[in-house]
Amino acid sequence: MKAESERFAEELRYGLVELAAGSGPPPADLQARVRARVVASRRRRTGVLAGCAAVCVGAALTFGVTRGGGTGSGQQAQPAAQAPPAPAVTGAPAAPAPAGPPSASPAGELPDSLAQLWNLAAGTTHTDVRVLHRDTLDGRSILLVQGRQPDGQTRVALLSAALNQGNRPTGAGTYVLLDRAARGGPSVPVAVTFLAKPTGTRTIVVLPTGCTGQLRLTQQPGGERIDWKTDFTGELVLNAPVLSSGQAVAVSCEAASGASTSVLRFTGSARTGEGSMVSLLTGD
Amino acid sequence: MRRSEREIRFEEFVVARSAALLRLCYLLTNDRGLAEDLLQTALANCFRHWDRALSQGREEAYVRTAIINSHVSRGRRRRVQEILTLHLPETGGEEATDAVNDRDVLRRALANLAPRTRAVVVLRHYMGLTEQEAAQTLGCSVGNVKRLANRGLKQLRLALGSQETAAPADCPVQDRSRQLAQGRAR
Repeated sequence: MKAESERFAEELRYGLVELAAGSGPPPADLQARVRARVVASRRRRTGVLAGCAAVCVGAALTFGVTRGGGTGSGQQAQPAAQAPPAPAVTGAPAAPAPAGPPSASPAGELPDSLAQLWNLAAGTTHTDVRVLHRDTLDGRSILLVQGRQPDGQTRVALLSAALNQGNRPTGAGTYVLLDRAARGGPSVPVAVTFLAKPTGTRTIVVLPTGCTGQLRLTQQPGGERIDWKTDFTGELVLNAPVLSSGQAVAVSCEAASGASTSVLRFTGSARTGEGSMVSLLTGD
Repeated sequence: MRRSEREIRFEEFVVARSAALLRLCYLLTNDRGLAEDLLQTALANCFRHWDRALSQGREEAYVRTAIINSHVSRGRRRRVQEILTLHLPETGGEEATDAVNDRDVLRRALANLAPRTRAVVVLRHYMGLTEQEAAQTLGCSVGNVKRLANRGLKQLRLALGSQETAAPADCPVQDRSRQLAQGRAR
């Protein structure tokens, strides 16, 4: 029985060899065909990744809009549309660009008209203008922007912009709430505090680029405990404002290049509106 | 454009081993066009991770596994089953025709096997892999390979035997494997 089985296996092997021999030689252009497959596969993967990224960005923006409307003072949610590109300012010195926008999804580029308004208010031109954070307060859009002056100094400003029918900030009715020098440059966090009486208070700390590690609040203002959490955008959200000149918050950032600590200080002024207050903290 | 070391090594491998791998694909698919397609798909998939295959020094085993996986996946996806009749339209007694007939009977018998069973039969009885190597290629246990091999051989023997029984009544019924051997001896 075993011998018969072995004989059958042997015959099968011969049969398979004969059968395989009928396949013939491989095509001459096999290399080219495989290369084309690799390219097509790579293109398909890239397309899939781009599609996934677009879906993620869309979902994040949608979630951001929903969340922005809920945590603000009960105002309309922000538009999810991207702002047009920043203006190309002529005559600016060739200086190294500041770090890119933080990982917050509300960040982006400032509309041309708003950048010109900031230039007019500051009496100078700003280059590398970026929006670090957008929020809605009292029916207006609050924009935390960063730019570089011709002398190389990095400035951060809070703009209050009116919203048009499409819920986008417009130049009409826009003014500069606060304008400060960022002594630590673009590589340190910047914070903006919102005090809206009906909904409470919060402080948004915008992280610099590359700060991907977990943030820790290492110093509490006034010795009081502040609850905090990391926002979905990567920003640090404190549930208390920092409003007096004696208060500061130290934020440590564990980045791939190592941990760094920045002390964010209240610079001594805040702008109050109808039932709300906005302040700006810059880092050393 | 300068090619990378990986591309050079990959192309060397394709030149050296594509004929043997194409024969494996042909036995799995039963069709020259499908075999080429299967080989190209497997090679393109392997190119992405060729560095890993090179580092392990198992390039051929790597491609073989990719071929088997692609083949089994295709078998699962396939909507229209390939149906091959066991009866040839014409039969003849010429020697050359007999050889062709024998190959065709075996080809049809192989086509009736399930993809994994067929893969085990080809790996064990054509490639000459051990049960452990076949199990590694298929990503299953040795026991599973044994089971699939037994099932495959049983089905093949049955199919070849049924071909024998389906032969015209005036032909003497005999062991098909013996007939194959006789055909080769001729």
